[in-house]
Amino acid sequence: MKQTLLLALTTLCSFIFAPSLYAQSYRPGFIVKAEGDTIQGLIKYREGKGIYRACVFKPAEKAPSQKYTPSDIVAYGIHNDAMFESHTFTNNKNKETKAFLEVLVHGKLSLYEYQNMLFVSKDRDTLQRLAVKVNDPGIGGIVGEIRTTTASTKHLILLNSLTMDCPVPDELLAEVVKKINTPNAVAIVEAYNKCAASASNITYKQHKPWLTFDKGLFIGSHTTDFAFAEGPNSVHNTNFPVRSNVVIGGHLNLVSPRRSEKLSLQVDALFSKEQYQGYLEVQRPLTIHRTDFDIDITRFSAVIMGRYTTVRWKQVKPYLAFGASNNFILNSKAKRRFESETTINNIKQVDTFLSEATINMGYYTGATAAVGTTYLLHDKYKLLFQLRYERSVLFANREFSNDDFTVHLNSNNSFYITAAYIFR
Amino acid sequence: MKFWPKPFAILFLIFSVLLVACSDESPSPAREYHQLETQGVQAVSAASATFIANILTSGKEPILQHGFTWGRTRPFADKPGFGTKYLGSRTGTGTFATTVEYAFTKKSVYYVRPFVKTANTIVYGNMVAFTPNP
Repeated sequence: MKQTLLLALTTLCSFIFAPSLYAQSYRPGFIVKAEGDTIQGLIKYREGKGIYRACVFKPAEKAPSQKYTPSDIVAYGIHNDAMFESHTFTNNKNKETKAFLEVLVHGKLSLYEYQNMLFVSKDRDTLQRLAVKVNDPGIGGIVGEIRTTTASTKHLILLNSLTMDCPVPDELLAEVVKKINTPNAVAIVEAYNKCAASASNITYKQHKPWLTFDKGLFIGSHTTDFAFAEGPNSVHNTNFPVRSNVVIGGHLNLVSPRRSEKLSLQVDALFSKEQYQGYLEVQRPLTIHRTDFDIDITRFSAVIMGRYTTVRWKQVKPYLAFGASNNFILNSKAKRRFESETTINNIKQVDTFLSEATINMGYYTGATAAVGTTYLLHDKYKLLFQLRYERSVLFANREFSNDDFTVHLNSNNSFYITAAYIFR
Repeated sequence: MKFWPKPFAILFLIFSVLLVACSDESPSPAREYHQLETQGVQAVSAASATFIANILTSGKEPILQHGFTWGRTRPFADKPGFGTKYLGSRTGTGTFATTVEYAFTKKSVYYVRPFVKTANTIVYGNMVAFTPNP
């Protein structure tokens, strides 16, 4: 019954979200043609490597869209968001490439990004790669030998030479001695521009934070069917029907709006007290054995998933997520009621035995996938609905011993349906 | 103001149904016989003990006799030295208890279990051990 319901829900979600997978999101923007003409219109919002290769533009909502490559136009941009310029440069494979570079900072000194590579240009001059080169001796050497890798100072020399007329604070340069990341590079270029030519500095996506997180609380239902793998009295044949239990927990979604509006890291921590009932009946020539299992489990789970928001509507943001779950059994108890029915001279005798079985499991892990959506209630509050499937692999704590009632639990399939209240 | 878009209304409804209406039924089938459970032994002395049991579910046949049986070996029925207390017929489920006067051997382990007899069935509950002390 519940499996049917869940299947129906999954199908329904697929129908709800399927159009969104094909939906195209256009935002107000512009293209700059080679001759210098700027044409206002709508730019298709995209993420990934495609943004460096081409832009999809249409002059009006109902006009046909057209794809422009770096050879067709000199720049394109989304209003109050990202800006891209067409440039020819040498990439990290020493190959000359023409592509759209994302302009991170525009000014006397400009900073560009292309597929995680950073470039700087002063006064619109040649692009220069900004990267830390590491001197690594490579594979080889003697066992026990201490290997040293050192970071080259070429990038610091480059930054110093470009900012010589208006030095940037040492503490900013200190952040990039061994590794350059985009936020630190943006801070250095901004600092220089504000010192050298403050009015000319434009930092794109400035209103978007580098890192933010949504946090929330959720409640939901966990539906699963356990099965024994090993145990006494043929317990692996025990029938454990699908069972639903309530789960509660906390939700965290780490997102870098300046980097990506679609990709985020979702971490859910959930707690559940679960009850499962199993029944086994074994027919023998003179006896019938009936066993009832009552299993209580207290469980804590940490689920980490990469989340991809498929489309942004006004208030609704459906998403897909994939990841792994880690489940810790905090407490478990299994009661076994065994009834043996023997018929002698047409009189049935039933003997009852009660015992406690040990669940031989403390931790299990699994792969998980989710489909869900958020609904914006307010700038700071939203609701989240999520359907998650988990395929778990259960590990035994120790070897099965036939002289006790230790039982191994088998792999299981779980469905979680949760509703969360999210706040920033 | 339209607060809930249609997909959300549907999702919320199904979510509520799943949470509330999906009551799970026990996989254990109803028995034709009564199910018993020993609840404990109290006030144990060398001369008496109080036995308590519970009829969990009712079988198809009426109860003709119920009570307790005890001894020093397990299983002990039909063996010398076991005691039985008959409490007569009864109906329905629920707890029953009795105090037996018996010359228990001190510091010996005894076992007790309840029973229910019908026309064609005798059901024994689970055995519980106890040790009479002075």
